[in-house]
Amino acid sequence: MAIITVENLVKTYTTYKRGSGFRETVKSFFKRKKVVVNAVNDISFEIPEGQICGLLGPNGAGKSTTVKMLCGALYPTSGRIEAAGFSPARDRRHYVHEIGAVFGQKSQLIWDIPPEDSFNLNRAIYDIPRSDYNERLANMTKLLDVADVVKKPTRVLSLGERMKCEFIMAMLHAPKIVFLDEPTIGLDVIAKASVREFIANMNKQGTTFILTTHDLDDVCELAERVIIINKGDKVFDGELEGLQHYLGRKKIIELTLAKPLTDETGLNIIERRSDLQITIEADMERVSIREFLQNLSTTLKITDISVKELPMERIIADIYKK
Amino acid sequence: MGGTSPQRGSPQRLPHSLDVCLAVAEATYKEWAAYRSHSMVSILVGPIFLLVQYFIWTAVYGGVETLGGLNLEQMIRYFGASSLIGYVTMDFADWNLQMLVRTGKFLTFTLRPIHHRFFALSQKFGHRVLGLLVEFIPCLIIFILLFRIDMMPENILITVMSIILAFFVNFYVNYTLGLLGFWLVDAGGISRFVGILTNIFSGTLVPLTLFPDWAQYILLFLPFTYMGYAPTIIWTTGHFTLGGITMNGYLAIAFQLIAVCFMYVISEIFYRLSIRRFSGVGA
Amino acid sequence: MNAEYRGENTEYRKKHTHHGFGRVYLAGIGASMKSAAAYRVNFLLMNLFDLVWAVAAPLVTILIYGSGASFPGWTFWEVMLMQGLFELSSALCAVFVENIVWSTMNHVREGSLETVLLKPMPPILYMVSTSFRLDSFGGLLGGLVLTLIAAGNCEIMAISLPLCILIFAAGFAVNSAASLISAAASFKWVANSRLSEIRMSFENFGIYPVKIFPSALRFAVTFILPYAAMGCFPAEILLGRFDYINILLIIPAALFLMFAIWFYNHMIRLYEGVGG
Repeated sequence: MAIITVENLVKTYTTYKRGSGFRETVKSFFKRKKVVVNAVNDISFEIPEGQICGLLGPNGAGKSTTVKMLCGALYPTSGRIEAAGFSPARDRRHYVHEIGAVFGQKSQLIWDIPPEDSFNLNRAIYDIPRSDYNERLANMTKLLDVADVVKKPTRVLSLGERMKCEFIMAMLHAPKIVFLDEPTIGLDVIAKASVREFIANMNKQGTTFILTTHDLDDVCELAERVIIINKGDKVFDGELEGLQHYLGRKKIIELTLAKPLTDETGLNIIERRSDLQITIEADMERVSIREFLQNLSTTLKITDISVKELPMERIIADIYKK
Repeated sequence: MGGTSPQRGSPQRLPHSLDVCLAVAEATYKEWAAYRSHSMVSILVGPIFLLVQYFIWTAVYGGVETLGGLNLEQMIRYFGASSLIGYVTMDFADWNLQMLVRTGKFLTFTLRPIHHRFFALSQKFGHRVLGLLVEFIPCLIIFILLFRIDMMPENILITVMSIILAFFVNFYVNYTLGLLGFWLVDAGGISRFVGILTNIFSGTLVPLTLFPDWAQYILLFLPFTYMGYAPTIIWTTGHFTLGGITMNGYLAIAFQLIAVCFMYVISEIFYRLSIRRFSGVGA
Repeated sequence: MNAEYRGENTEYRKKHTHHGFGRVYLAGIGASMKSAAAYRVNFLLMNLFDLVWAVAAPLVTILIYGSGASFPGWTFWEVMLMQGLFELSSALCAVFVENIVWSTMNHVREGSLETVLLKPMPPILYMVSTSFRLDSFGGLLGGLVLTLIAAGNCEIMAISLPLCILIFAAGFAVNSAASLISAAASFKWVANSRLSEIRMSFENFGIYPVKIFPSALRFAVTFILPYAAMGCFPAEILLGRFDYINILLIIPAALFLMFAIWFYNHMIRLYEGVGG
């Protein structure tokens, strides 16, 4: 069952252009140029309950605008959103009980007091019954191993400890949908792993997660599905494995040669570590791998060879460039 | 989970509102208690301010018996009361909201089932309780015991009620200024500008009865008067005088109540417009 | 090793200070203008704010005189002259020095002071040159206008102008020194925005005729922290009623400024010691 349904979502903005040089700055005191921006351009998708869905895209692609609309903070220019049975922006008062959010760059904890006190604040705001509150808090502090941490002032916590507390803050009211924006930004490997484990754990208990991030490891480890947005359009929607084939079936082939290369025709060289060590890229949709290797061995003297899949970073970067 | 039942989301239900208010106030109190030493600056600044006022007015009263209807003793009490009342009625609601908007953190409030204004008001309760403890009371003690100023209000009950109403007028005015953050890239300037107008026209610099009559008459209809002057003059003389009109304390706080309601309505209208803008309705 | 390196650094700083300072200062002014253009409504309001504030400070005096009372021995325009000079002194400090309090505070709070220490010039000069504030010009204008109008309505002894400028400079030095000290104090008393309030409460002793204060206080604001040199004494000089013994206040004023500079540098060295 879909917990989020998005149909033909559009958002346009009007902004003003500003110059940079001295003359331009003086000019902009008096006259500004109007610019209309299509942040989101007719996007549709459905997210089933209990999924972890990654929302990717380069900076300024329109993904945070989309997330804001999904949260109910921003009205769509046109199109329809239904989430947890609500229209987010219109029924915000009720809808917000069903959602939680962790923004890596926007803390909800109060800086000078222990997280525990901030949690208590949300207990009151969301009207969480004491017994539920205590149970969830005990459960989550145990999962994240922060039972002592929550008693210290937020300002003395490490970034990892703080982020764990942000998760507790966002999930005490047992939201059905949780929005994550760069949840592991700046964290060390151990803290990252622990946060990811927590997300996976809560997901098993039924929570739906929408994850926007630039950290592809987050996506690879957590998301069953990714939606890629670029320049306001949805350019990819599907399982992570599908992404591998999105750009054709390309392979990376590392070669060690016996003799330096003389003829480069027909080879797509992407890296040349030395005269004898090169990396090439081959598209298996045009030639089969057998044919390709046969061609290679007739033209070159190869002492070692390894064939690899295209790394995720390359795939994403290629999609962004399109 | 039963989350769709409408009662749960409504902050208007009294016990829940009270619960939220107390939780927010408590958190804010703890938050600022970490900076107690900042508030204690007032224990130095307040007495210096009053000391300067004491010498100014002692010199000025050399040739006259009363100024603006106050004698020297009342004038000194007026300035003492003015700074004390400031400690329990001032707030940073404007600055705070503008900061939330500028940094994008306001977003996290739109995701919570609470009206931000109610949240901010609760914050102010917590913050001002701290002000009462570390600014108001110590300075009052210094004024009475060290400076030997008669700070006794003419009518304690009316004075307290007037201060409470001033607390609300201040809040709604500042919150409305804070909402400007949704409209201007940096609303700090306009907010400071109104702040200075408030300083002048709420009687912090000088009792409003020293202004020309026509100005006093206009001030009778501006919220500034009810933010500081009303409780201060009621503390000092027991009644309220402005624009040639003298009314008893009860009538004056009725006027203040009108000012509270008026500013509440203004802030509500402005809040709705701002949220429409923030969430891009019709944009 | 570390000490040697630091020694070299100081040498380097010394060599490159003087021409660098001017250029950095101009760049600081440029940056200030650009951000003013970005926040134009705010910029205009900030100036309006200072202009109104410049008018508001004498407001008390205007209302006092309007009610038929006065400061004994001072006519209305004489008091205006004093307060105009005070505004001028205070605004000069706001434009050129005072912002160092905020920039230091921000650097300390955000832990970005290291970037300042890396610059090839003494940190204190760098901080002053990047603390130029265009949006306090309104106060400067207000003070100037008030001073000129008031001067036109008083009998001024033009010959005493040089002495007036000397004492005025001493007043400026005192207020600047106080700014530096609050900036330096914010190293230890992290990000206390209320430090400025203490400083501003002392300014009150410069805006009124010093004779209204009892003798002990008068001595303090003349020879210990010569705040009276901000407005009162320059006006007294121009009006020909200055007690010449008070010229001696330039000594405590200079000492106070020297102490402030030493204190600021000292706090930076402490910070370097802890941070490095």
